[in-house]
Amino acid sequence: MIGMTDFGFKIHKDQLLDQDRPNVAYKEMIEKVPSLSLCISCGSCTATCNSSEMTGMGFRKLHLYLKTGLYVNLKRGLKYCQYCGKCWLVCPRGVNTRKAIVEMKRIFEIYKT
Amino acid sequence: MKRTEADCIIIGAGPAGLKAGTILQSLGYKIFILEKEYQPGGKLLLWNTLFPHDESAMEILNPLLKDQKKNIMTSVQIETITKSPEEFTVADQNQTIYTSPALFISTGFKPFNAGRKEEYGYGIYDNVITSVELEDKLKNNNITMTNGKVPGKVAMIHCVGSRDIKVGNEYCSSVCCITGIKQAMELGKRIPGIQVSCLYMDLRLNGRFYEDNYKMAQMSHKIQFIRGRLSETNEDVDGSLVIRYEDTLAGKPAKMIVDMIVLLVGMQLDKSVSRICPLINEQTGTDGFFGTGKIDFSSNPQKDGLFFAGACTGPKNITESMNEASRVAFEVHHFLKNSLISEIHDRHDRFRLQNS
Ligand SMILES: Cc1cc2nc3c(=O)[nH]c(=O)nc-3n(C[C@H](O)[C@H](O)[C@H](O)COP(=O)(O)OP(=O)(O)OC[C@H]3O[C@@H](n4cnc5c(N)ncnc54)[C@H](O)[C@@H]3O)c2cc1C
Ligand code: SF4
Ligand code: SF4
Ligand code: SF4
Repeated sequence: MIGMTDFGFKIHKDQLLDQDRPNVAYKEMIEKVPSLSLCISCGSCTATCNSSEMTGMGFRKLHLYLKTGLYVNLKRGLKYCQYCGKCWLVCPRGVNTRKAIVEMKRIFEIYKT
Repeated sequence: MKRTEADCIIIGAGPAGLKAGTILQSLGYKIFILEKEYQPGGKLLLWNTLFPHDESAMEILNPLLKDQKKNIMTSVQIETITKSPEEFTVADQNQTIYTSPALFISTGFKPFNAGRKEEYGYGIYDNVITSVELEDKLKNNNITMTNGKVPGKVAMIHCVGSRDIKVGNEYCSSVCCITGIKQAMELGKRIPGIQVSCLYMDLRLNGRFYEDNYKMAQMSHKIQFIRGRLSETNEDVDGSLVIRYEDTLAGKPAKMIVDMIVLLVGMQLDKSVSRICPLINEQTGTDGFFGTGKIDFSSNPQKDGLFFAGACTGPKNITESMNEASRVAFEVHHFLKNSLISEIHDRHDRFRLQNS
């Protein structure tokens, strides 16, 4: 008999985002940086970001990774930020992006002192 | 000094003011429509064809002007607007005085000044134009760049001066998404092989038949819709324009080289009347447009005789502007009828007093 594993199931981890899992980091972040709730994922921040061209990263994705609980990607992305603040300058919704980055670095303990 | 009396003075001869004028005149009222430009019509004078039915703006304007010419005063610079308990008094640059118990404001909108979004390159690079300027090019059938050539690749930028806290306009201007589609299709019709891309944050195509226009743009004209917001424009040595944005659906920062950029500018209130009249200025809402935008339940809504309609009460298309103007014209009718009745009652009372 052919089992599900023959089709490749069970071999890979499923790709579903589990939206039922509590997202503690996101909850903490929107309390610390309330303007984060206003992000509409327009991508202006990424388009203007110094490090996005080389890394494909940008604030829009950092926020998305945080919101969807993709913390591994988030931690990797956070490393590239140079705190230039250009993302804040262009954001049409007034998201306090630099503060958000600092707080995310604190939460994930990659804040260099 | 000339003094003229009327039942209602309408300020602004755009589609809203003209529609209200037609209705009030048909109900037998004496009206004046005061227009600051030398021609009546408002933005209908500037647009080529209209969404969503591709009608010519002039064909919409002409019936609105019919039977109204004698009521319209053009090149009127209003200098003061004052109110006594009975009436409004409006004075213009020639000291002509207009008085009426009801004042109807239909002063419309001003397009956002695109130069304020400096990073977009308007006023810096020649081939960055606004949607207002594109309408003019379409009207004159002269869609060329500054070097005289026809553009092969065009980017339409959505939400310029709308939904942007950095310029102080947080509202959506509601017609620029569909205007972009209208203009993109028009370019597609006139310039064979042209590639037009619309860069949007959200596509807001919430009007009747707008979705049909959207599909037609995709199917018949191969317009590309890219979900991303322009971050900056630069000019290449050959005069072409390099734009940067993030393709947020692909999740990658992106650049595109185009010949021409069209900025879909949003709407702002024309402040020319609120600046000179505190009574009108008081009626400015938190978003910068007149009125509250709330449902009015009272049976006698505007006891003070001041009425607003059209794009001055918030971004609207022409149908919506004219529909609001019709509704408010009937409120004016109601108001004038009531004041006439109370005047008759007053006279009657005075008469009885004198004779008792
Ligand atoms: C680029 C662009 C394209 C558009 N295309 C379409 C389209 O295809 N279809 C559609 O349905 N809608 C379209 N619209 C929207 C449309 O222009 C508005 O819905 C419409 O103009 C609103 O009518 P209005 O009478 O309220 O205001 P307006 O058309 O702005 O008219 C107001 C009038 O008042 C006058 N005025 C202002 N202040 C004073 C003063 N102090 N004294 C005397 N007169 C004064 C002005 O000069 C003007 O004539 C478009 C908008 C834009 C920006
Ligand atoms: S610019 Fe602002 S609204 Fe747009 S994606 Fe970035 S943070 Fe979100
Ligand atoms: S502050 Fe960081 S994320 Fe924002 S633009 Fe600069 S490098 Fe990019
Ligand atoms: S109608 Fe479209 S382009 Fe205009 S402000 Fe709203 S979302 Fe932006």
